Amino acid sequence: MSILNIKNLNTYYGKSHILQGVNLNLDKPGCLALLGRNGAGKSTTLRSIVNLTKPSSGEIIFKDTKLKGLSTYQIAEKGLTMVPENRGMFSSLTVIESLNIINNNNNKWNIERVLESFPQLKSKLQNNSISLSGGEQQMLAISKALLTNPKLILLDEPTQGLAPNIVLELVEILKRILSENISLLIVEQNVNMALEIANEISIIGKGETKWNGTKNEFKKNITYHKEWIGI
Amino acid sequence: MLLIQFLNALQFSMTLFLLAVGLTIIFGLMKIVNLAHGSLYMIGAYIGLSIWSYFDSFWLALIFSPLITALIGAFLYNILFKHIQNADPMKQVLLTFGLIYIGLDSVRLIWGTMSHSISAPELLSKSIILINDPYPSYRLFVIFVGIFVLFCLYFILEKTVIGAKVRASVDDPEAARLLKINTDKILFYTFSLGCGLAGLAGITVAPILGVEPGMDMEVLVLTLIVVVVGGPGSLKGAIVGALLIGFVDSFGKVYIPQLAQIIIYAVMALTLLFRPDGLFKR
Repeated sequence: MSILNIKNLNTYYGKSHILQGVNLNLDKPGCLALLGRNGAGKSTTLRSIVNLTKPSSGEIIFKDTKLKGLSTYQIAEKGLTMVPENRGMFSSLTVIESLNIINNNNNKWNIERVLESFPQLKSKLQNNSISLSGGEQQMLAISKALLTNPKLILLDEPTQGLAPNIVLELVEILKRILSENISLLIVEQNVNMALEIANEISIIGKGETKWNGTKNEFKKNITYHKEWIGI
Repeated sequence: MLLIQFLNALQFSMTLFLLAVGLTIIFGLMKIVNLAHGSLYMIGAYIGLSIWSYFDSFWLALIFSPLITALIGAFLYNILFKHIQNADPMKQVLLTFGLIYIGLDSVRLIWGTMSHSISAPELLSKSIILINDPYPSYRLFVIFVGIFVLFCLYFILEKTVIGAKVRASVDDPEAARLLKINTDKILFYTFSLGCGLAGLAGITVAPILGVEPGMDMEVLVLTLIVVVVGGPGSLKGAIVGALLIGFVDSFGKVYIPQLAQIIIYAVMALTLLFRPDGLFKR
């Protein structure tokens, strides 16, 4: 059973045709990195998968379930969630309130387990979530995603604005998540970071998929791919 | 005398709060300014009038008028508001503006163009003496209702998980949906609750101001000012804005009646000059 299979995804913003045929495939649990220049349609692809932006056509199959017609919250209930680029902090909620609002009856991930994995949040449970540092906000965002008991997490530019030492810490966290049999689809400008954790690469340019392959295949042809990923 | 003015201002502020809190939550969740919110206040008063006349009981009117107004709100949400959520803001304004006229003509058709009055219940019909001055006990009851609703809302929103879900949905609806929160369901219930509170404001004010067509317009403008001054989408803003505008309006009318209207707009202009997003920015 494939984790995620996307065929010919098309999405419009008003009259602008942003996604013009995106194809992605994640056959087995692992990490797929979606690379491309600014404005290539990477974030729109993630938003379309979870139906925050409604795709106009195409097929999205997540673990044998067609996602067409499902709302974002129903998709999250099926085990597919996203950590958005802005980290999705709730400005009027404390850290503990942000964790408490997620229904996670009998889940593998509960608040105690999440706090064991992210001990830096333990001392800040009563703090307002937007008062946290960038790194702490990213940890909270990932904690919230884990509490939904996901099988696949989409991450939109998770290293953006983070200090280099925090990026290293984040890489380790994401590797730990992968070892728990949770798959990742990551959009990242930091290609080195993406290559550190991904086993599959997809390149998107001008709203369509330009290349799909394994990390090793990507590394062999990196000069060819530079045009599309802007490195 | 000052105490009487203070209590009058507080009573008016509480009415404004009941109206503004619904409007501001609806704005926070839907990014729609529901111009018909005042119409629900008027309809709440008229429904209360009918219940009061038919059953001869103010208390039944006080309970059922907000409930029926909430049901009307639920109906409006399903046939209209749900579908205009992502529409162009101008279309939203025109549609909700159109509802004002539908509301006005509906009450004229059903209840006629005459003004009506509702008597305060027997229990609250007398005045009580507060430091040598008599004060209508019914007005104290309205203050009590406002404070009671304020505490209930505070408890639900700040101390319960469902309240935290509502706040999360107002803060960032997309992020809330990604965490399995059904924001549409939350929206439906909060929209209906907001409409019910407008109805509650209408029926509680009816024994003081009477019931007449057009009673919605004056209060709508003031409620919009409260929301703008407090900060659209902010619950703290709704209470602070209601107190500010309620006190400025009530004291202004007594002490400088010539400038009473101007002062409210001056307060709004000054707030927007120094805090363009309102006192409590979301």
